[in-house]
Amino acid sequence: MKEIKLEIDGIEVSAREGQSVLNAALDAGIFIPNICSHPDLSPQGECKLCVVELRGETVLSCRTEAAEGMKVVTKSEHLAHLRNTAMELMLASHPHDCTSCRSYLNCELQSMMQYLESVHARLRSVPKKNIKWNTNNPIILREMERCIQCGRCVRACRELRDVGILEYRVLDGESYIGTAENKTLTEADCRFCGACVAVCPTGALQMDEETTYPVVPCRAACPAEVDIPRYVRLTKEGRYSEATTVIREKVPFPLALGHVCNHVCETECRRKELNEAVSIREIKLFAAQNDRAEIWKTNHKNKPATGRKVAIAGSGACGLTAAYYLSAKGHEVKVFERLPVAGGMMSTGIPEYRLPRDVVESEISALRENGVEIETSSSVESVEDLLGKPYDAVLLAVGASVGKKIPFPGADHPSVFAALDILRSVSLGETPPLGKSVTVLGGGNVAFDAARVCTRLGVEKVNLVCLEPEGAMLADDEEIQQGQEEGITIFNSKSTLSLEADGDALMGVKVIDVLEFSFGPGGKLNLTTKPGSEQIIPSDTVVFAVGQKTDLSEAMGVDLTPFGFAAVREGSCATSREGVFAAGDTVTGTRLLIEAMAAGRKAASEMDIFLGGDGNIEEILTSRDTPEGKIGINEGFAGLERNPVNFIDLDERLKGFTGIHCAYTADQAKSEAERCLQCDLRSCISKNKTWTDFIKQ
Amino acid sequence: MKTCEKDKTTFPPASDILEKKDDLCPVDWALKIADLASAESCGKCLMCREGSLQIRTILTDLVSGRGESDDLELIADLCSVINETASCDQIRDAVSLIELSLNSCREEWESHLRRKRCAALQCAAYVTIAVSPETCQGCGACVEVCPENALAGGEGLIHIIDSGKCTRCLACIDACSFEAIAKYGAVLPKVPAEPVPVGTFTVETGRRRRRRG
Repeated sequence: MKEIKLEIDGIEVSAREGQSVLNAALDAGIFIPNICSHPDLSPQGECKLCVVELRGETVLSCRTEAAEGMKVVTKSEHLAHLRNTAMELMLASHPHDCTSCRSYLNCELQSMMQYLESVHARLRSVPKKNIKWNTNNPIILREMERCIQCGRCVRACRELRDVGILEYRVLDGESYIGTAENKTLTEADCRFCGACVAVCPTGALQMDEETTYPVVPCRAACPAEVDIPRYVRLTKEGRYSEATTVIREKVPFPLALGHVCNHVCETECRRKELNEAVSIREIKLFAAQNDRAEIWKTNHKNKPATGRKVAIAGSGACGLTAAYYLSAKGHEVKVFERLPVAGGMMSTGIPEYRLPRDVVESEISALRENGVEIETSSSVESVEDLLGKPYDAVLLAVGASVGKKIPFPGADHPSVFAALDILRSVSLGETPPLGKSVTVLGGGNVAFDAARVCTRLGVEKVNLVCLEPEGAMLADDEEIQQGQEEGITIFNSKSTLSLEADGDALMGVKVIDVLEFSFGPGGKLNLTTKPGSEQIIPSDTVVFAVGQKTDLSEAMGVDLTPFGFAAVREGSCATSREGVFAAGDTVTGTRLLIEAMAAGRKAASEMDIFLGGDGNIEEILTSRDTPEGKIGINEGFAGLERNPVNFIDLDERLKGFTGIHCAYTADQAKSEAERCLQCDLRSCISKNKTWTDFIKQ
Repeated sequence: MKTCEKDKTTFPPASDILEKKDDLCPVDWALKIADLASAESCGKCLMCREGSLQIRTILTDLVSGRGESDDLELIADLCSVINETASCDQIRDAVSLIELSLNSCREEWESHLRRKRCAALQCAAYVTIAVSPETCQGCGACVEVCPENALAGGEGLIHIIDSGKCTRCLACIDACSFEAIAKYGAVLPKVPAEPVPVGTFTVETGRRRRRRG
């Protein structure tokens, strides 16, 4: 490209052919005031602040092309007068309550006022009438009395997005920015991408809750920071392998997550404010099931061997994730699993009907192919056995595998089990000695897992007793609904008093109605019960699903917390013993699968540093093409409904342990991905430089 | 600096001012231009949109007794800034006409601002409507049309106008078949304090009566 030399305020500056004088000056570090101009938008010449002198004439630098030998003056008394008058005109109809504006201190108009030292003084204040049009919208908050009609939003909507629903309008002799026929944004088929908000120089356009919400809420909510909008977009484009690879850049279990992830991303999805969140997990499952090319296998390369050895105790989501990334950094990793199968809760906790075992096995075998060695039926009793023999570092990722039992009278009866024991023994192909009627104590997802497994094992009557009233249970709504469909009876707002036995046989669970409950300091339960409401729920087997703890003891050789979890340094995975790290449920107690994987990543990074690496475990496994910003109009966009999750019929569900959850069809996946607001497109929009940026330079 | 093609609006011709017609108020004329320019603005340029609105606001103040001491200089300055930086010819035409009026009729503008007078009797705030007691026939036509009930006097009585109530809508002037009602500036006709029979009031009696009182 041809380079042009021109002189701005006596300084020689080079510009690209076709570049405006304004942009040439800004690139060269010379600030010219401007507010309607934006680096990504065509110049409009609305605000007049960028006036400069050229051959004795006043011109707009944004609309003047730089030319060879040009001599431009940007500062003079006359130019200052023009700019100040323009600023005064802008402020004449602008509210003066800067401090109560959401954009206070983050406002280009305010910044320009400070630069030009403007005051409202000379001119009449002119109130406007038409500012209230179409201000009642979801997601995008429009405080149009703060609008200075610079037109940046109008140009962004048209030029960056090809949507073009914003325009200059005139009503009763007064112009304003609005939509055709003053439709609401929803009626006008706004894509709610936020480009208008991103370019607005004032507080006129805001994202709802902007100050507390991140720009891309789903990505920020994901514990593993998976680039959700990117894989949703790739799925929409039919690029399933690339979509799966984007997930794989952060976590090595896309399929397992596709089945059972608790999707905190969906809880934060901005689309919820329009109708329902995008079904992100289903899109993930579909993409992962349809990754034929497996691009990641070609692009993922382990670093050259470092000669350092790592032992990991526990082959759950945390341990295996750490193993994968430590292998990738060139360390030799060996995972010790006390059970005969690898996978932790993915293999022996979460029931098979929710997470098919072949899915977990295939993902684990992919890790083995990448150099992760797993030794099953091999437990770690003490870090002493590993550290230096010959391992340079040890990660404790044994999870919280022991189900708690509350010492109610009768809780030591042989027909009383912990939910995890039932789930584990069924997963290992054993048949737990259950009777004809089972009562599960607990109201979380594990309680439902245990109850639904009992149903599938042919138990005639399955009850579930929990403290929480209906609607406040800890389990996911889907679990509660499906559990009830499968015949589970739920007793809400009940506290257990004792387990009643008649001789050797367990007879039932004595419960009392709960009026109120809360947890005090240290997790102490405060209960108000209804006198005289005691009843016995008949059952010959009782299953506790009231939380898990670790099986760590002092013998392991690291300090433990009073609750028996591994103690680590604040914000770190390092235990009391140098070279020994701990992460996941081992440290935090039971958390989500995705959190375990995120913890595994963090541990891998920290251990890599300990082993002499740089700690950077980030991988780029697919090309990062800039997403298409011109998303265009999609008729009825705001109303596009969420595709329901596909489950097999109830009859089929009750027959056994086959997976009950079927992926979307290609059409469903595409139409679901279409619903995404693509909040991440905003990150591709430049930030307009203001004078303070130049002072910093 | 022309970037906007807007030029459809036809403003009153400069000849209105150059010919110095007696019944044309140059300030009111300028206000009409500012009004038109503001109403026709497409909104895409600050100078046209806010400039015309600002000038309109100041001119409205000027013709209603709310002018401020620096207003003429302010208008002149705004016109020159707009002329230099506006995007379209439409607003440039408008401010040129306003500048022409201000420059060639400066005295009349000053008179509006400082003496609150409109020589052409076009600016309502600076005009008083009065009934000439010599010409009034007491027919009541004006009383009937007045929307504000500002006229007093029954049949055969000389009508008088309550200036406080009068909004200068001029309906009474049109209604009077005897051309007895007119607009006045600084010098007002002598009128009776209350309706008196037609033919009983003369300027001399008025004077005499006042002396006695």
